[in-house]
Amino acid sequence: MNASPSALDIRRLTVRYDGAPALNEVSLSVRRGEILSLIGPNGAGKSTLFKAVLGLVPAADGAIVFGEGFSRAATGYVPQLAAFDRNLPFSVLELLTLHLPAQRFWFGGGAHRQRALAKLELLDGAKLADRGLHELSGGEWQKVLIAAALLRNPRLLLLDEPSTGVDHAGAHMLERLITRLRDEEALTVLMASHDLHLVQLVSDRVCCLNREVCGLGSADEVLRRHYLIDDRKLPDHCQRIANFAADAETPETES
Amino acid sequence: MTLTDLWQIEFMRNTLWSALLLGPACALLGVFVTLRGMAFFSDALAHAAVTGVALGYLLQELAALTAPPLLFVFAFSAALATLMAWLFERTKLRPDTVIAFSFTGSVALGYVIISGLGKHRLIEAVLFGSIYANTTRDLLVQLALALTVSGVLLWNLKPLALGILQPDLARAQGVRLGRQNYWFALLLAATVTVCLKMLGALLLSALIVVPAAAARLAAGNFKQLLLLAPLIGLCAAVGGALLSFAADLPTGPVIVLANAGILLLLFPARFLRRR
Repeated sequence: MNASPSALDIRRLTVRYDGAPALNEVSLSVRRGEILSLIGPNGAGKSTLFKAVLGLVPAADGAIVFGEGFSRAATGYVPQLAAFDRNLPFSVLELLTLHLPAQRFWFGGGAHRQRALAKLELLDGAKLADRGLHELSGGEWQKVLIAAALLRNPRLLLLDEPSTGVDHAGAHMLERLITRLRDEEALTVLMASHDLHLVQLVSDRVCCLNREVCGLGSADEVLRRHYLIDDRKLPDHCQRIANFAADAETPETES
Repeated sequence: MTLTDLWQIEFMRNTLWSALLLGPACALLGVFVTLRGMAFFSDALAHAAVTGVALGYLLQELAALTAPPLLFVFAFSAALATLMAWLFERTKLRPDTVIAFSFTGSVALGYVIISGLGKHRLIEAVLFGSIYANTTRDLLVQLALALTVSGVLLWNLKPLALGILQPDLARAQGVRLGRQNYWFALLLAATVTVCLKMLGALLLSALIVVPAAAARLAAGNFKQLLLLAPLIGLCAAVGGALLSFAADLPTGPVIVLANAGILLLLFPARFLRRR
């Protein structure tokens, strides 16, 4: 397969579950260094698209082509929070050191601990290191999961519903964190979200997906066209988002 | 009577060796059994051992086939474990449903065979075990099992933990979770087979599940859980064996009660840890 000038090229991708199409001839190009958000109803195929990129579900047709310097191995994945049993007896550092590549024996000590701590510090989460997973708030969980994904030094980061279960303060932290990943860590981000506030605030482009691509463009264009936001109300909508961001400027509270 | 005196008695020495070998190994396995939600699965395999024993006797009667009974137990448990793992993967039935019909079906088959053969006394031995009947050969088998279980689990610690925490991510990192389910089920089947003599089909899953559950109450993280569960398994097995000898009580049930006692004692630890 030829290398693509984009970070990721999805070409006429079709994925079927038991014969029924979950994605139907989806074509989408993710530009290097951008935050591209996928929006769409439940069952639209957003998570399936991520799984196909990760090679977890086979493509019935079409192709997924990584750009130069990008690869499946250099793709970080932050799954939905709902996929986790929050009562599992792991500490944050244990979860993080599990994500370090190329180590057979895992016990999370020494150099592994230092690498994990460094990544947490990068995301202002050093104080979470020795906490149990059951002690984390939704925002803290997302921070830990993103740190875990970053430990494998990805170039492309897939974020699946990052704001689910996150409170207002956590949502603002998340918004800053995602833009930081693009601006300071030079990551390309593909995010699936139902949270239109977050989508509007962080996205360079938005793709509306409903088993097939039904819209692609700037957040305003796509939200106006596909979420039936009234033109007359759009300024209000943007103002609400601005107010929300201003309110959330207060430091994140740890629970 | 001192511990040194007890050590001079052969059956007691063998019993204590059994407890030392199987207590910690079963508890370590139990950590993964409980985290993977397979406690009922291990119980079903233990009960299905009855059918393995019955099939062994039936083949002896019909084909004059003589082989160690444990071989039949392992063959049947392994076949049942593989079948259940396959059904979990390939059907839309819930795991507890698959386990329930496999479990009851196999126990019914075992009882029918035993009744047909007229070996009713066998049932009690299989259900409750007889740890005092341990031979040197049994101990060697138990040593091999303890080393295998500990070695396999520690070698696969990372893929196992990742599979429990983030199955999708584990798959993305190349962990073959389907294959992991099969070999884990076989490891459990081997453990059930070897422990059958110690505790019997009725109680042996307690040796696997209860120390891990007790450790979970006190452990603050996974590392502590991995250290604490075998320690509890060891203390309960050795302590239970000594207590049963001192009080002239059946060994298997006393070991299970010792495990349950430790679990009850550790309940307050859960609340202290939350403060």
